[in-house]
Amino acid sequence: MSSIPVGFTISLRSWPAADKVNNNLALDSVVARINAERANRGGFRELTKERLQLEIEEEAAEEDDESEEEGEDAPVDRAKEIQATKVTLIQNIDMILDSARSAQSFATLALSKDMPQVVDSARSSNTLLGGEREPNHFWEHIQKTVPMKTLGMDKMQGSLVTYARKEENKSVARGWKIQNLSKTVDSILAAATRLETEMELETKYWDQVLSIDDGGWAMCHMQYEKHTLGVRFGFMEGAQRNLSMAALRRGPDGDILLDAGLDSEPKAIRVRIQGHHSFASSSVPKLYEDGSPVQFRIQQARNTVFATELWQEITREARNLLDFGVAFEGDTVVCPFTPGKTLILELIPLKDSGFVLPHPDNKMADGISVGLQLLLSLAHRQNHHRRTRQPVPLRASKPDTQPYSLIRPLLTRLNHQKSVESMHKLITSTITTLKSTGIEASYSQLARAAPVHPNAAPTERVILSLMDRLEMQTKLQIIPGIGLDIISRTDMFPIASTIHKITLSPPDSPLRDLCPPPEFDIDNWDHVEDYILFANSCSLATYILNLQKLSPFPSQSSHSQPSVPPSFSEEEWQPSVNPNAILKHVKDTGVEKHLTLEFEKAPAEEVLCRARWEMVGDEDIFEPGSGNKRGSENGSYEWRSVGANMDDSDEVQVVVRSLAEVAGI
Amino acid sequence: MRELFLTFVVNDDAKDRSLNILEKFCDMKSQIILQRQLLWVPLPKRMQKKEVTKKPGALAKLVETSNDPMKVLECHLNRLPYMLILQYDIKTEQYGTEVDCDETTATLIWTDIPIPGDSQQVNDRDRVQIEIKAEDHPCSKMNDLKYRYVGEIIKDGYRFVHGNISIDLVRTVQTSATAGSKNEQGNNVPKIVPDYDKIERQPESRYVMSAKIDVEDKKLIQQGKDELLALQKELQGSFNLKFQDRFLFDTRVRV
Repeated sequence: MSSIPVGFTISLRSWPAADKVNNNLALDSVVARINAERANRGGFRELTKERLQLEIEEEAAEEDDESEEEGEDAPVDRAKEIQATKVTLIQNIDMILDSARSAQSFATLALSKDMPQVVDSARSSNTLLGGEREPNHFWEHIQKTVPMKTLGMDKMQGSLVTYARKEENKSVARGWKIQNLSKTVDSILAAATRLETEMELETKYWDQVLSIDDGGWAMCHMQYEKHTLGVRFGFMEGAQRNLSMAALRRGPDGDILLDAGLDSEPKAIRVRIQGHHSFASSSVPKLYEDGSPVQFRIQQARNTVFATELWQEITREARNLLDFGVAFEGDTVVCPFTPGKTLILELIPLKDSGFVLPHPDNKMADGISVGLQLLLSLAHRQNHHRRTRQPVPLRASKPDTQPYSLIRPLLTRLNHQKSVESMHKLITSTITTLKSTGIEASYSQLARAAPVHPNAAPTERVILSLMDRLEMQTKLQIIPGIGLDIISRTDMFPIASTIHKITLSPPDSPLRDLCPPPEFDIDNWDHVEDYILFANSCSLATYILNLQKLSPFPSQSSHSQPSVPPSFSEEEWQPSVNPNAILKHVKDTGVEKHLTLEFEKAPAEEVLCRARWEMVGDEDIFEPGSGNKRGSENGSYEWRSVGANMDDSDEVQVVVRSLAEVAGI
Repeated sequence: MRELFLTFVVNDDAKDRSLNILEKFCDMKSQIILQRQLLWVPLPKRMQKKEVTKKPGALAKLVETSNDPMKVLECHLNRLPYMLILQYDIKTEQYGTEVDCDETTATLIWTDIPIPGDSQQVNDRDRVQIEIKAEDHPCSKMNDLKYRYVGEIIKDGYRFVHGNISIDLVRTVQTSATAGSKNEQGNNVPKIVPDYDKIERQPESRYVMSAKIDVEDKKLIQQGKDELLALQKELQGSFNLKFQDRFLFDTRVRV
């Protein structure tokens, strides 16, 4: 133990381990150990970096001194070294001898089977030293423990593997190794290239996926392929809510392949208006092929779902509208539009859309197409309201699901416009005719506001106001104190036609007794027309009666114009049994003069007013002083809305006679 | 009408996450619930003349055949004393304003104690709900039924709809508003709507989620239960809707 320096303190305790919780050494024990080791060198307090470096240098200097001292003791150790070497040499020689003996013993045992005579000679062996035979103890031990003739040997065929062959094998192996290494390098390079390509493709794919997500589309896992990403493009309240999803698969070039299922051919609704040997058509969206940007293709898929649902709902509704003239012709739905025109609706693939020829009604067709889409969106909105409102209690009877109203609002709107137009034409013609009689009549038409749905969104209110409870108020002022107030309302249900409510204005006008309007609503336009014309007739009769109260009796008219009705004097007009006729008694005769006023519809939307007078009584009574028979004084006068006026000779008179003049007032 | 329901308690700090989950699950934005519930109990005199029908099954037959919910309600009230609720839908703009509850349309609600069941089922109870229009004076109607006002609860929360099931997430607070002086009709319902935002809540205030389905036809009760249990299974993991002890919903009172 001379190598251990004096004063070295050996600690039987291991260096303190770090605290597992705070990973700090137990500082106290470390400081104590340092103090114990360096007790004669100042302990822990004097431990600095410079002092440690100084100590290391001092130790190195001491080792150099020791090696110099060892060089002075070299000759003394040499003798010892030689002696040790001699001993080692002798030991090695003994070992060689033992090995030789054991080899000999082994050979002898092996030969004992075939050459028993060698067993005797092996009992003694020459030693390497001096040639004296010494007993082979090793052989004696083997003889005692191992029976003779138990070890056999035979000559084997020598190995065919020559040195040359071995060298050849080595070079073949080397060649294989090089070849496989090359292959490995090539495959690694190929893998790296493929990985790089794959990264580019994946980057391209995910860039497009991110762009889809940024576009606001809803992304999710496919239902039956959890590892595949899909985009949901359907409508939450639509019929095909669960099917409107497309898988986003990566194509060979990194582009997204939109896999929307089997029946994913892009389609659209086309609206055509068929006139006299011509077709107007709505525009159809452009077809986006597979190479187009993915967002456009998703939008196209969404539009296809929308168009498909729209078509299904149109056909479903059309089955209930057969009474309105809606019909199926092949794959199209045909609806009446305006007189002479029909509306044709169909679902077409976008690739078959073709070019749209210019036509004046193309914009109308576009408008109807947009209108149908808005109505379907409104139906979706109503589905949402129905789904999210407080659920009704479970009942045995389930409510019927009515088809959406898509064509019906269109028919309602058309019917309403037709009624309003008819009313406008009739009233305008009537007013013109009245004016030509000298009566200043007037009218006004006002579209009444539809009731506001308080809970509906503004967009819904706009659409509902265009298709629900369409009303028009027409106010006709015939003569002061007599007028008509007509409210025409068209409702979608049940029959989408217009009903008219006629009231008098003011309510206590003379027409209340003469020709009161029907108390019920009238749905037949002809009846409305008849009443308006009849009311005008009655109003004119009342007008004449009122006039004669205001003006003196007219003087006897001249006979220079035989076409002008004769004047009446002294007698007054009075009401007759018919509210549109008046009569007066001719003085000193038994004759009554009847004046009947009639309004009629004439061809070309014309309204004519006819004043027809006739003498009722004794035909032999002559007019005093004239010698003319009174029976020859029957006649008529007409006023037309176009301005030309006729007398009973059917000759057009340029000079317009007022009603008062005709009545002789 | 029968009401089937399951409930679950949601902590206040989990409200936003719960709303998020329900919005996605039901595919809709939440509908706000803000209701003022006036509590009424019978007068002691009322129960002196009990008209308890003696025919077995007569009440059940009346419930099945009668189209007059008020008649059905009166029949129930004549058997046992219950607490009734007059419910008013309010808006935040009405906080602190004067509202005459007798001149406002209200909903009269009566619920019976749920029938006994086990944890594998849903809570099941009878319910009668009658709308009383303003011109019919709801508070006066309560006086006619010999009921008196005893307190007020404000309920606020959110509602979602999933098929036939209504999912409510509400919290309640009993106002400390003192009863007002008796008005002309003889009740002392306070006229001022409390300012809900200023009412102190308990520190452990929580939302109660209830999924309920109403059934009119008795033959469809099992269908309603199946739908509720299916919903329970779907929401498992997010919300542990479960059957509760029926006495938690006992509205019977001691007179």
